[in-house]
Amino acid sequence: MSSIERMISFPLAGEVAWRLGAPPSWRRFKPPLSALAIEDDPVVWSADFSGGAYLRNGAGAALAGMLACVRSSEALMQGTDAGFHSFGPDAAPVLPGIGLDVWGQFPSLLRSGNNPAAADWSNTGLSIVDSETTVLGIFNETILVSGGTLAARRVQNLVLTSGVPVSVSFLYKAGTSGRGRILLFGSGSDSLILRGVAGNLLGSSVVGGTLSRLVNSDLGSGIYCCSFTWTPSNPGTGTGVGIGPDSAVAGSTLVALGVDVVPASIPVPWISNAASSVTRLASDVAIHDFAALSAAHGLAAGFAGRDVVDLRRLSDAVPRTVWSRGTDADNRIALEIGTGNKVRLTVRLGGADVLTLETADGFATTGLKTIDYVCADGLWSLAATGLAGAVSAASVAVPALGVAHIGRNFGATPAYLNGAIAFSRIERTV
Amino acid sequence: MHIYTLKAESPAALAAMLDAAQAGKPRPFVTWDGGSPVFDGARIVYPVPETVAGEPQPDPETGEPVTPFEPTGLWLCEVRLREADAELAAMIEA
Repeated sequence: MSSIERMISFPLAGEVAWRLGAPPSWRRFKPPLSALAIEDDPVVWSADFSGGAYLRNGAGAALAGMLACVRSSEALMQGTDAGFHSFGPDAAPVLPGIGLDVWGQFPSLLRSGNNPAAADWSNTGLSIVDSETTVLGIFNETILVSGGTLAARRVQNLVLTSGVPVSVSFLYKAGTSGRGRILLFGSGSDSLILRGVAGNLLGSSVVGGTLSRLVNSDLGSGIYCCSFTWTPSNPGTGTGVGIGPDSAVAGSTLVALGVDVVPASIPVPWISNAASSVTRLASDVAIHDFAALSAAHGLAAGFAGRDVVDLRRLSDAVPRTVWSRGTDADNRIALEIGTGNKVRLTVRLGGADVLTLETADGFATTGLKTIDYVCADGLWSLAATGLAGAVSAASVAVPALGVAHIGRNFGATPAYLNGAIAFSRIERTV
Repeated sequence: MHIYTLKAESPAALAAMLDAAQAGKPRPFVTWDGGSPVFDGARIVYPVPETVAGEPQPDPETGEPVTPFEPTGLWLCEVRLREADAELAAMIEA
């Protein structure tokens, strides 16, 4: 290829400035190489978890090349389609339309809550018919038939602890009674009964403990979910959970799909109890081979980025980690949604917190929140949707970058996000 | 999945067992933070009290007997691994 052929489009205005085959009179001109070079893309790693598009090292990538996930259990997550998505062991829980849903470890207090027809449930004043019909992929329809008493119920034992809140979910369809009932009781002095028209179960008896966050949801296809938090004060022993058609008419029914009772103060995704042990282990998610990525792009000299978090709760009493990057609990940068829903960036070096940037106010509403940040010596900044940002010119070095946790922190208190990240991007700053 | 259920008199004793079993392995079962054990929450079900069926108690609403769970005083934790672990297997057999 001659220099003439390569340069026929020069100058950039587009017109051919000389006749083809004839060298330009100014052919000794050579623009500097820096002017010819294509500007380097600063994006090092970018994950649109909600949309399913991934970029690593400037090229498209598969999810498996973006993340490393460890979790020795199945994880069930509810998608935007109201269906339940099952993720096998070590599969990153990425929900289409929602994002990467990172949760810590939660046990279910019920051994077979997914299936009220299982043998470890018992009957009080009622009989059951196992319809052997599966809905939403995992739930078995069990028809509860009243024997003619209002308190008729299907019961499973569990252990509650005074002062320890439990998050309860009851999934059902209306039967012939058109009503439903769920209760938590024990030999202690407190108990809870929720009952009413299907789709709207309300507290009819709240004794001793505290009922909060009661939500009745219509999932479509005739399926309802009643979820709430119960904090017992004196549950005693002999505690159980009961569900029934709330009808004194013999033969009237409710269709039960499942019950989950989890020691937590926040609503928790359904826990699979298909296996012998009913605990969903933590999803330990990190950027795949982050040490190599960081070294290749010089991120230790500084990096910037953006995260879009699907904020579903404002009431968490503990910080929620969006990400943490470093080597260990004593040497890391962490981006968190702290108490009061303020956004916080902290740098810890040698075990000492050497820099804290925090928004003056916290998020006042739920929904998608965009968080932008710059982490570089003398150029620290933080901004978030609807909040006044924070900046610092402090001379603080970026810690060594060996591991990049997503949705959890290093150390004894991982402070899991317990929620979803829709989008995440990392750019180099130099 | 290989599942190993360990039993001991306390969570600290369970942590000590896991610490002994993890030597030379790339991912620890337990780490220590200020002297407190930090269990690998992605592979280990956090320690829980062992319970057994107790004496039936009357349901306060219906009066029918309901059998509670009662603690034995021992603690359990369950380790779930993709690969077999000879050290944990030996501990359970012992």
